[in-house]
Amino acid sequence: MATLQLDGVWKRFPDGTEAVKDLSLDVDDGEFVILVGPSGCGKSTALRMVAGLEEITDGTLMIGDRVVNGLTPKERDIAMVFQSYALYPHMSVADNMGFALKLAKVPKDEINKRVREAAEILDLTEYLDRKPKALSGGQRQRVAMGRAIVRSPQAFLMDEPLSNLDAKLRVAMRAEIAQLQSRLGVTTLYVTHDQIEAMTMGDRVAVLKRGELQQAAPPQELYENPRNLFVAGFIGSPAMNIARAKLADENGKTTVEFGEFKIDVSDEACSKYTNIRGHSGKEVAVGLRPEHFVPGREVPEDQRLAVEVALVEALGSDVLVHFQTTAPPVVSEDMREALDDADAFAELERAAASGGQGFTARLEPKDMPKMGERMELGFRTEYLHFFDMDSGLAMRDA
Amino acid sequence: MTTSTPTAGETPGGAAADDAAIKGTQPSKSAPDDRRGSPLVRGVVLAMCLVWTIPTIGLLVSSFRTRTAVTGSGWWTVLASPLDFTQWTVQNYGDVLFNSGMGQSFINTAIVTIPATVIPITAAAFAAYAFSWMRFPGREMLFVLFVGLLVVPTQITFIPLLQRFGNLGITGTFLSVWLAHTGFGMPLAVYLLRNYMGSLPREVIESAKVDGASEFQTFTRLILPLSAPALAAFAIFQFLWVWNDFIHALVFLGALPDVKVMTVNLAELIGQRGQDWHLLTAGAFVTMIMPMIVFFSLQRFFVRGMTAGSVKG
Repeated sequence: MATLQLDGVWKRFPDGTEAVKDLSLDVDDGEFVILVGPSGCGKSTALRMVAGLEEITDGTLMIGDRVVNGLTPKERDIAMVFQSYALYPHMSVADNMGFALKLAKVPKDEINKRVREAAEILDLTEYLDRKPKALSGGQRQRVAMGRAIVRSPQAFLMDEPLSNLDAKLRVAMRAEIAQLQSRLGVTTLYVTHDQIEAMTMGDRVAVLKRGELQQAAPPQELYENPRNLFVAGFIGSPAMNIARAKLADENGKTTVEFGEFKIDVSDEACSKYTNIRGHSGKEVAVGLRPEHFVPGREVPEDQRLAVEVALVEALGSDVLVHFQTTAPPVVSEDMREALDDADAFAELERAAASGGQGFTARLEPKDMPKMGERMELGFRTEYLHFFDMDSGLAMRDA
Repeated sequence: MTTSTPTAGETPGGAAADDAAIKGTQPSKSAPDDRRGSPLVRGVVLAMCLVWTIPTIGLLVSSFRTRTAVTGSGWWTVLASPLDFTQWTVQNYGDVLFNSGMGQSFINTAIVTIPATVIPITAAAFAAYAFSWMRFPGREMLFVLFVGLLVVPTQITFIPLLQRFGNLGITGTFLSVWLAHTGFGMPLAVYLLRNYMGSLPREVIESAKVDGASEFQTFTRLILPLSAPALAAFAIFQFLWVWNDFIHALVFLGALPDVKVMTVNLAELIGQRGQDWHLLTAGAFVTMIMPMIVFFSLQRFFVRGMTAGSVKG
């Protein structure tokens, strides 16, 4: 086991595309770090560079205290789990798991022993003689994990290992992998585009956009204090409502106005976003997470937002309420990347042209409105987020 | 290597795709039941098969008839009384095998064919791996050049090759014909094998690299076993081609009894004794035995490997 250190790592392809730009990231010994980002953000390329499957154009990569830039995958002593599992179809499960050890000329009984141990951990003992094609998706996934485990490598690298599983199994395997990782204490770098995996599994999450690291922080920190608009828009499901807004100072109180809404900014938010004070009249991007909406009765009358319910999605545990607003959306590259979907972005642009956008609020089932109903909502303004319109950065110091 | 369809109904959703990705050795096949076709199609196919087979049946029948019978009447006349065993004889086969040197020729053909199959396929497998999975400058160019050699008619190489073989002093030896067939077979072999190996899932090969396999180990432990269908297909192809080859054997080996192959021997049966139809028919069947055995025992590889190599699934 070892640390992973990426220092100013670049990947430039021969055609000039820069897949990874100046990536610096330290993974501590035994830490579970998730690389997450929209498609094409370079997360897989970054992982493949760590594995030695892609050359590093520039910068240094260290595993433990060795610089491994020029080393082959074999010399790096890392194990990788691929999206397709990449099992060897002509070998039995046991041979699949023992393949690396066999190549390393480990004695036969030692291989057997380690394969058995790994199989026990993963509940694969009865399948050891089967071929991969006789296994279910979840079992194959476990074999791929087993292949990594038996080697006791310096680090695990995982490239979207759960994306080929159906939803239910994915949830189970998510927990299983996280548990296994903490039990074995192996340094792990895990790539995913699924932000639920990112939030639930890792000790720390590194968010990438277009090859650039946006923020690397523990999941909760990422959720509470996104460093910029992109992270704010990308992390969280349903996504944060983001609108162009105007700041104002009224009687010593800071207010924010977006579309037809105007609310007071709480002191907590002001002290967190230190740069919003004294910027009366300035245009900013305001972020409201759906889960921080509350029924109108919980806030003072002048703070309520009157909305017309366009759609109600009852999830059982809570209710998603969609409503149309006149709050203009933020159309920027950050938002395009955060949406990670050309159609969704086109929809946002269309909404921007018409001057409004749809918001989503998450309420408790007992407050469930009817479709088409007018209702009043409040917002817990201590959870407001503010971003600079030009730079997209959160309006706070450091 | 026995089943080609994913175990159906085993897991929902992405499992079928996984299956293909994991096995990677066969392209996905669309419902095999569709292939049977309508009764009309089947009837036509059957008729064509019959038309195609009748001359061969005639040949077979003639090969068991006596010399006078063959020259005196058509083979179909035996249909009048097929159970009259006095008209049948195996004398022709005895004559061909032991009195016309066909036995020795059979052995010679085997000596020519087996190395002329094994050598190019071994070399081509290495080359195909390099062409599909190793990065080196000029790889594409070299591959195109190599496959382009397919269009070169082998006849134009006869004189230069014979000169070189003469310089090396190997004219008329088995080595010369092995080398010739290796050269002639390589372009197609490299082409077929590269296409097949190139369609193996990349992640599996990368996984082997991460597991610590060198290029050579990746090749021997992963690529070779996974390419078995394509290797078998090409092996059959090359085997049949060399076994039935006449011109190259005649040019490079010649017609001396100790090196003469069956096809050359067969030609001489016609040339020397134009009247000996009964021997010719038997000789033809002796040369056909081996290709038939090979084809029927390995035909499943033949069909699968050829399609898998050329059409990406």
